[in-house]
Amino acid sequence: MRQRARPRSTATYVGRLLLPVTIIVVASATASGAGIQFRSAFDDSPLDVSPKAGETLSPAVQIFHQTGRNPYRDDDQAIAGGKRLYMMWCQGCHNPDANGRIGPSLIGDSYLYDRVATDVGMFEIIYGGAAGAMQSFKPRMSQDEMLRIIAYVRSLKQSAAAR
Amino acid sequence: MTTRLMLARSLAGVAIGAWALLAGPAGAQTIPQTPAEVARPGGMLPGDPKIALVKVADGFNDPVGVASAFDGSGRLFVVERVGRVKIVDRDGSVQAEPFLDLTKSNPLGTEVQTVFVEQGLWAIAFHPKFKENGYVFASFASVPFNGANLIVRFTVDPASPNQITSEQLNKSAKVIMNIPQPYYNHYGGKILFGPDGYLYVGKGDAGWEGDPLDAGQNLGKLWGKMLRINVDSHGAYAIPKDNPFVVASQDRMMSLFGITEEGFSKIKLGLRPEIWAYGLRNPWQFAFDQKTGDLWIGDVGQNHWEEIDWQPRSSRGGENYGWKHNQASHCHPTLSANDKCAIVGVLPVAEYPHQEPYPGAPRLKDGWGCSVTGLGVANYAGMTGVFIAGDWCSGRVWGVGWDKANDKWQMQELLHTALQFTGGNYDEDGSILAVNCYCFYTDDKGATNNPPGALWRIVAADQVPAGAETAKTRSR
Repeated sequence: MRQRARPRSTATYVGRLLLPVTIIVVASATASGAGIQFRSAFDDSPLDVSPKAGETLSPAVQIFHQTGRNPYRDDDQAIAGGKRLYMMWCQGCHNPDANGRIGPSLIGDSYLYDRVATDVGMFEIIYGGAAGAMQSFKPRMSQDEMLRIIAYVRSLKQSAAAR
Repeated sequence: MTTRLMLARSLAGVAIGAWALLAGPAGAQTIPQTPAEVARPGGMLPGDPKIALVKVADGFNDPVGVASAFDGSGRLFVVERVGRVKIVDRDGSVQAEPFLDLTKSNPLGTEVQTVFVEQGLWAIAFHPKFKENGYVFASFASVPFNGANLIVRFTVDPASPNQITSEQLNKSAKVIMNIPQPYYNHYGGKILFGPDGYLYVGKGDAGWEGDPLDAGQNLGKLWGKMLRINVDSHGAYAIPKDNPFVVASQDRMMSLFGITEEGFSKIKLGLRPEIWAYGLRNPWQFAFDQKTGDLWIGDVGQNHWEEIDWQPRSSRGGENYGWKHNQASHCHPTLSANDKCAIVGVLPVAEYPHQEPYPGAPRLKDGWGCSVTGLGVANYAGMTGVFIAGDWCSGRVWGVGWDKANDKWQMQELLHTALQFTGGNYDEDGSILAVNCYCFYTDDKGATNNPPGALWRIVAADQVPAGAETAKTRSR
């Protein structure tokens, strides 16, 4: 993970301090078997979110698996990384403003798949694929990168709403 | 160009009526005369057929086409975009060595341009008399000719029926057509022998978006057309004498007076006589009904509508399918829900919308797609003359057919799969085959690095063999 000399915001700084603490809490929760059951957007079949060969699940991904909360949501640095990834992988179909063209809008009032309203749902589509041209991006990127992309897309919706 | 446009428009008015009459006896199919007669999703085909996709084989690199040699061997030939053709035997096993490999036959490198996802080896077609002459035709984007569309005939050595060696490839190669391509998309790609023994070539409008070259309507260009050529001639090809523009385009003695205006209107110098139909954007996949000889064209649309055209076997060609003035039965450019424009040429029999049917439209949740991949015409599984098309973007499978009882075309969503359909064709028994890839634009890692694609067979839903793998579907 890239480290900055000075975090952009206090929230991010505090968030990073809390992360190790949260992981300890999460680890004990894992032991008890709790966690999100991820399901395919195509047919609701269960998704296996264990790391692929050579991938280590980042702390953020572990929190996400347990709680469904995306720790990168208010993390400016993660969002900046998510933007780079979005522009590389997603904008071709979903447009730079994420309002869709070939692919559906990711920021509108209603989504093609209702579950996209939650980060778990958006993740399920990126990770597990949906149909046709929206195939699983699991071979293309890590789960951590997916969470960053999601954080970026959500920040677009907030900006759009703010205007 | 203006003169040609005016000519085309004046002929269109006459022609629409003429083509409607071609249909035949009462109760038989007719070409829609108004947009309201064009079928859209939500209809029901006679008999409400139920189908399934059974996997035949997998492990292909970006499969974009499939063909049978109709030689009784039961082999299926899967076209890999990179420039190879793999053989699937009757038992479903895939032969290790390619039937055709255009990536290794030139010492200076591959023959096939694959840099952009719409480029590559798109199709092969076996000559109707393949068993006797061993001729197989390939259509691909050429590296040496800077992306031009080459159609080349190769001859299979009977001593090596499952593999055309590099030596045999180079020895037997005969270039049939070399069509330059200014942009890297909208090539068309499919080539098929029609029931008349001629080779039909689907050509896209040469690319970019919006047909900036006005290729669809330009009868002096091969882009944006369905071509029809005779490949059984001494030269590269000959023009079938009943192609629609053969007489019109011939040079003749000049006669200033003494011809009627109608007579003058039939003179169209500079037209390409290879043209069978025009006004197409990107007829990526098309198919002939094996029973009737009718021609179906899946013409990929732009931002808002996909188009499915039909013409009866009795057509004499010359249809204008309207691009770029129309996209399916709609105006191009599509601006609003209430666009008004002339319908140019012949309407499609069916169309389906993208998620946003016009700019700013409420986004559709169902019944949409974004790129039509024609697969074939079903004369089984409870269907007669039903054109089956998969959608590259949404994974939906549509059926379009004539509803005799109600005197109209019907379009029914038969399945919603997760597949990205790229091409289709027939097996020797007439069943429809389809291939899928994982090769969308921004997802493309190159023609051999994407997740592998598969070959499927469309069967009646109650005819799935025990234990067979079927494509996942979701209920509508």
